[in-house]
Amino acid sequence: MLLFYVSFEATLIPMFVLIGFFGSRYRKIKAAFYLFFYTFLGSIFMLIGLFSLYILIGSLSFYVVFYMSYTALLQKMLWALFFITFAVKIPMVPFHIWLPEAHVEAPTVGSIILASILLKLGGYGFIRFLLGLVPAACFYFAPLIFTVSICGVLFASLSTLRQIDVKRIIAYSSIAHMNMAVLGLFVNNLYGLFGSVYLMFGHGLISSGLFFSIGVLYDRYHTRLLFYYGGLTAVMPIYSFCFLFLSFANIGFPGTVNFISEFHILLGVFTCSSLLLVFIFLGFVFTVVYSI
Amino acid sequence: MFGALKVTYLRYFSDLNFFELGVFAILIVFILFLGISNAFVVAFIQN
Repeated sequence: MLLFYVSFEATLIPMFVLIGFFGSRYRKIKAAFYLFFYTFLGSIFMLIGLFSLYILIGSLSFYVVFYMSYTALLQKMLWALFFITFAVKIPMVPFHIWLPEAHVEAPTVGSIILASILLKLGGYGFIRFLLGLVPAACFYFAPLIFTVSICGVLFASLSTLRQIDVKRIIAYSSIAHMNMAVLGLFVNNLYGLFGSVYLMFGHGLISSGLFFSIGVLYDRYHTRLLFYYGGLTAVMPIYSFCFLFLSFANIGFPGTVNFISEFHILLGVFTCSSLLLVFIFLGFVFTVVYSI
Repeated sequence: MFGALKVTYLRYFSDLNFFELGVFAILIVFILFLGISNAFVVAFIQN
């Protein structure tokens, strides 16, 4: 587990270099430090959790730690410590500020790596550490997760509506999708879990495709403001088709990978609570609205 | 033959270079494949 922590932290170094040195504007330094300090400060909680485990058990091997039994209080404490770390990484809404900044200032390659790989580290941590290590605490804290995730989906979707920078739009869309994935993870059934893992996989493809599209445009026109791209179909028809396809895939159009995942998350949420379904459905509607 | 292909490329696809076209093609095929194939899988499992 210590090796996981070290590797988790080590991902920060290449991203810091990518954003801080190869970023596009003068705010890149600020964005790089946002990324670094948010993730680094979040990870301190995980380090505290690992130290506590080591003091209690005397080992940090996955095999040893997973087969131990923990008291309810210890499970809740470990859950809280690990949750903050992965919530910053994924990112969930109170800890999400670093993501739009990092995406906007990062070069295209940085955005693609950030969206497709680094955000999924949080999802991986949720599945392996929270669901695997402290399942009873996951069940106990599920209502909190539902509330935060729903707020996250709605807040990120509504924030997307008022953005004019295309990269920032996709970044906020990423936040909304990852919050949906977290919601699916904690509904405590197989539909939700499958939908979440599949949503993370699909988001890795679609979001990186969208960032690549923006990179293509930025190479040619050197702006990311939405106003300047009216009538792009006349100049770049093939590009417009590809971008339209990726946008449709982003909203979960039938036949694309996100449709399967969002359908399963809806199914899982419906099995858990019908009131929750109303809110998550509202989130999906907002996704369509800002994409169009 | 090659000339005709080149003219077709310049006429219809010249807004993207080969690398960009390739990336988009791979992404679109992959997204559709995962979406459609799993729709069938899910339909068979459900029934």
